[in-house]
Amino acid sequence: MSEAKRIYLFKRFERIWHWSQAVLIILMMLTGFEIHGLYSLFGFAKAVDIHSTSAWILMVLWVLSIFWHFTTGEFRHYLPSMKGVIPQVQYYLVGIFSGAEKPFHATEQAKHNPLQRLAYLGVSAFLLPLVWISGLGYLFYNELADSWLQSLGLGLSEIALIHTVAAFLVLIFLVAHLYLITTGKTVGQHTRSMITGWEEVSEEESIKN
Amino acid sequence: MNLFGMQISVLKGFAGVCLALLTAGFANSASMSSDHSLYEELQGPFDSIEDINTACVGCHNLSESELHDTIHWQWDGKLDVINNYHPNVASNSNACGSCHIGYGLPKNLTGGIEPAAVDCLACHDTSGEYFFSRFHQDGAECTMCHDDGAKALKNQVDEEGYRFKNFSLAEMAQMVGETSVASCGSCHFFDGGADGAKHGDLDSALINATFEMDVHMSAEGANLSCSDCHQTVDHKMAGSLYSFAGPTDDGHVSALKGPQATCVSCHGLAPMKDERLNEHTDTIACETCHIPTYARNGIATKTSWDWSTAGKLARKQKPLIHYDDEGRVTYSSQKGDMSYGEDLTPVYRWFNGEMNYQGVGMSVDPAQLNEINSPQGSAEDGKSKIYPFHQFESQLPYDTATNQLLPIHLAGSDRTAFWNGYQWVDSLQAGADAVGMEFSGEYGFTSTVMSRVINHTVAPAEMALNCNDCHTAPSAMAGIAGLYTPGTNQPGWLTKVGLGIALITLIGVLLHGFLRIIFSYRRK
Ligand code: HEC
Ligand code: HEC
Ligand code: HEC
Ligand code: HEC
Ligand code: HEC
Ligand code: HEC
Repeated sequence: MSEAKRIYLFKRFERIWHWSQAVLIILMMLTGFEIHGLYSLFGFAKAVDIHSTSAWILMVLWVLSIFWHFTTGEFRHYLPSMKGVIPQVQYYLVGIFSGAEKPFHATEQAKHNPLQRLAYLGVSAFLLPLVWISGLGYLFYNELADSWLQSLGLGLSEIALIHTVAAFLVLIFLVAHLYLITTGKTVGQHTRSMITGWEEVSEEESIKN
Repeated sequence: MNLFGMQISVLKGFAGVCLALLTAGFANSASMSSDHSLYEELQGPFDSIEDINTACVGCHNLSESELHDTIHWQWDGKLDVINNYHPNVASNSNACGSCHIGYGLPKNLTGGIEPAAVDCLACHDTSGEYFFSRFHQDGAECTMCHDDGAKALKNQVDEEGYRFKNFSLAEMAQMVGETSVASCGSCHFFDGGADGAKHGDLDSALINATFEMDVHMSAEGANLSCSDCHQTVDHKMAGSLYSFAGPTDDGHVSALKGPQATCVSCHGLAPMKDERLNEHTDTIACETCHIPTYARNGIATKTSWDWSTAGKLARKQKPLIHYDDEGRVTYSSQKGDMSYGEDLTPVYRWFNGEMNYQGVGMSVDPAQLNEINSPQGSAEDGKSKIYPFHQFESQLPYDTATNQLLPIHLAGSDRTAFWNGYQWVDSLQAGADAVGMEFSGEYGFTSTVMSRVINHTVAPAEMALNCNDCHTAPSAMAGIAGLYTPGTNQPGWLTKVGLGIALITLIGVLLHGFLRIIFSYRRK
């Protein structure tokens, strides 16, 4: 084994953004599925309150993070490319069991593997906007209904349907995400770097990339 | 009038009440400006209630012609439609006349009601006794207001009748004043055969209502009387369910300007401190949340009536009467079987203010429950809201040859009147003759249902339906076509598929993780 090297992958804003987003999204899922009628936890009125308050905070956070990603150029980490996707899939399906070498190693230039890039882009460019736009439709339904929502054929039930479908997709993403972060060098490696910002990579690996 | 209480609620956030307050204020000062006990014309003695009226119109020379122009005189609509309590006015107008504001109606009414003397005290009595004289004159039909022909009250009248002999007619005439819950209620509380029988939201308990019974009419609350909400212009009041000027016409009608009674004319469309609740007022009528149950004043309302069992007689052709433990009439030979309910939960449905009525002789399908009247409205028409209704079922006679409902000749002095002869064929024939219908001589009974809007007995705010009543199953809004109530009626597949895929993902990653562990042990 060669010398370990530490690289600074996740800036402070990014980490704060990630963890507050994590807390808020979990809270929104808990309350959202309660509003959907799956169980009762906070009670309907409280759930609605928590849900809409968290929604507003999340949206502010979202705007800030778009701003941050573009001003810092960090958005580059999410530019999609098919290069390296297949080896990454193969790794998850086969290599990971045989202890094969990882096809991708994080660097400051590319902190997400090719599959991650696609997944995160999909989530932040399509899934979350779908949740937020349908959620805004829900929040402002009374104000918007007469003007244009209804002319699009969108009643409250259609909006709610879109919103709920999107929420289930977020749930599925969350399950997969929570598992995949355990696939670092050690189970806790990725989580630790999202907390500290630092990721340990071996000299050898960083050269290879 | 509790002006101070009203003013506080104005400050709480709506301007409309301010207007109501002003009008109420003016009406009050009017009563101060004229003391009727000083008028010579009213010193009496009066021999009959008709004589009082003559005295009134001597001064109030326009009132009578005003009243001839109103629904209270004309009964427009009411005359020709059927309902499923006492089904038809035709041929029974004599008996129905007790509650007409004149002095009785002709036996057979065809067309409209001709102008005649108006009984001012029917509405303007303040002694609380006038109704006793008015409704118990010669020939009044006891059975209209008392299902048992007032048998059960006989003792009470014998013992307490003196209560109603405190005032002479002259004294009553001198005490005239504004209408009151009691004076309007002398008709509106007792229709359908008993106190509260027909309107589960209008009964005699309102005269001394507690705040819990009715926040508006209770003295502890707004202390309003009927006419504070049902304002009149030259004695005309709007908002009749017969004239299709319905209650959802609520686009900020000022209580000063418009006689239409609506919650919104006093409270506005956003009366709640909780904005989330105000968001609901475009879809859900105030009454739906604020009258969570009705007939909750300790006085039951009728829930069903089976005319088909009427006419069974005891020995010596004596009519039978059965009471339940509460003293309510559950069977009478004159009317058949009846049942009652208290503290009932309304049926909720879309309503745009239009009520479609059926005329005497309406066609029925004997195999079905036939709608006697149908509240119009839907999710799509853009003007309906969800309103609370009392649904009342009864069995009514119809002609088995033509499948048409038949009018019943109930009251009168002749033997064909059902309440004299107890012969269905005779009284159905007489009813049919009165309206010019054919009757084949063969009859049966069919199920009918009638829907009545609930607008009164608004409960204290904290008793209103709460979020969970609607937003968690079982929802009070369940089954209403075209209504989406968050939390209750998303398609069942959605949850199944959504949770299903999430579960498969979970199993997938767990399996993956499990294999990783196994393989990493193997490698060691
Ligand atoms: C001698 C004339 C006279 C007679 C008779 C008379 N009134 Fe009046 N009434 C008045 C006057 C004057 C007013 C005050 C009108 C005003 O202030 O605008 C009034 C006011 C009223 C009011 C409205 C104010 C209030 O007190 O609430 C009513 C209702 C009323 N009268 C009913 C009757 C009735 C019913 C009768 C018959 C029993 C009657 N009046 C007999 C002269 C009369
Ligand atoms: C159907 C019930 C009813 C009948 C019958 C009736 N009134 Fe009225 N009257 C009212 C109502 C309701 C008001 C509004 C104020 C109030 O509540 O007293 C009113 C108001 C009045 C007023 C006050 C001024 C106005 O016109 O608004 C007078 C005067 C009056 N009535 C006189 C009479 C006289 C005289 C008669 C008999 C010819 C009569 N009323 C019959 C219900 C009735
Ligand atoms: C707090 C206001 C308010 C008060 C007080 C009030 N009403 Fe109403 N009432 C309404 C509203 C709102 C409607 C529905 C709109 C309409 O039909 O005009 C209504 C409708 C009615 C109807 C027609 C619908 C039906 O149920 O057949 C009658 C009759 C009626 N009220 C009688 C009375 C009587 C009698 C009193 C007094 C004992 C009274 N109201 C007191 C608000 C009120
Ligand atoms: C004539 C004006 C008027 C009309 C019409 C009216 N209200 Fe009110 N309402 C009042 C006033 C005044 C109060 C204040 C009563 C109090 O608390 O003293 C009040 C109080 C209330 C309250 C609060 C009770 C509480 O617990 O404090 C509710 C709920 C309410 N109204 C609902 C309704 C509904 C529903 C309707 C229609 C059926 C309606 N109101 C029609 C004047 C009106
Ligand atoms: C979705 C149900 C719902 C509808 C529709 C609704 N209310 Fe309410 N309303 C409530 C509840 C629940 C409360 C009690 C709020 C609380 O205790 O904080 C309330 C409270 C009130 C109060 C007392 C003020 C307050 O905020 O506590 C008034 C007055 C009132 N409502 C009038 C109306 C009127 C008038 C309408 C129709 C325009 C209406 N409401 C429609 C549920 C409803
Ligand atoms: C009488 C039944 C009823 C009650 C009580 C009720 N709701 Fe609703 N709610 C509905 C219906 C029906 C809709 C759909 C409205 C529409 O189609 O515009 C709705 C819509 C909503 C919405 C979403 C869309 C919008 O228009 O804002 C929210 C959030 C909501 N309710 C929260 C609440 C809360 C919180 C409470 C208790 C404080 C509550 N509701 C009480 C029936 C009810």
